[in-house]
Amino acid sequence: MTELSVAELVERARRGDPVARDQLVRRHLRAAYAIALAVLQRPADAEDVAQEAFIAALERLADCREPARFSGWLVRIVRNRALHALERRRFRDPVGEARDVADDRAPSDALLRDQLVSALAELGPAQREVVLLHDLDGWTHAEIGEALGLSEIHCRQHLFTARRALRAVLSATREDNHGTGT
Amino acid sequence: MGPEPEPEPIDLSALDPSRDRSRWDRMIAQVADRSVEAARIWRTVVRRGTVGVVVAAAAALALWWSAPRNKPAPTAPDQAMASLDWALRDLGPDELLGIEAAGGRDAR
Repeated sequence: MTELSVAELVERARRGDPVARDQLVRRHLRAAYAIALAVLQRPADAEDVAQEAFIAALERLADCREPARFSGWLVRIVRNRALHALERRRFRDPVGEARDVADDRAPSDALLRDQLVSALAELGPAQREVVLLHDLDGWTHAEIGEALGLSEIHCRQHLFTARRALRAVLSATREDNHGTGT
Repeated sequence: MGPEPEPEPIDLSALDPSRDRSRWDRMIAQVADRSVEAARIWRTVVRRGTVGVVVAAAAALALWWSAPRNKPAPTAPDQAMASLDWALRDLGPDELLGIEAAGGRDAR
């Protein structure tokens, strides 16, 4: 299949084309994960919510009034699902004792991931969404602005602030780790 | 003095689930398959629901058509009609109750 626009993919997926569905998922699942991670701040939870939200979105594809703006529509579904999941998690685990489920990555990778998650926690929700969509999934400011309902200038400001804050937190963490010999 | 340059991108690849390519592909396939399955279940539910509604409507129509028409209005018991006659036409109680003056079976 040649590179189709999102609107074309949505139209085809609505008609039940499995290849178009697969392409939509392939193009947008990481963005869904980025939004879920911005809300939940736990990678494993974010993966689960991103998948559930994507399935729900594909089931309700007929409700997407503007197929060209599929990304923004998907972002709203994922964010709502993630907020519900966060509420449920707070109810189950009010003090936040439960840790993210360990995966089979190398310990250094897991440490880096934990540092990034802790650093992201220092940012505001909009900053987290912007920096994750931009630096993790490679979205442009225009795409982020349209999906999140922000102006491009606001996106740039959020990204600027987020990167600076992340860098500061990460360097402080690394200095602490060097100081303690970990 | 120009605007402050944008800080360099942060390497967030440790958070990227697509780094594990095979796991990521499985995840994508799972989402696509589950959405197809969910759509199939939904279509089946809608189709069966529609058939159910049509059958129920047809049964209701058949019952309605087969019901007897112009059924006579229920008549009041004879005793009640006689009482009404007495009230309207000024009948005597004997006439009303069918008791003969000369002494019916129940007369005193």
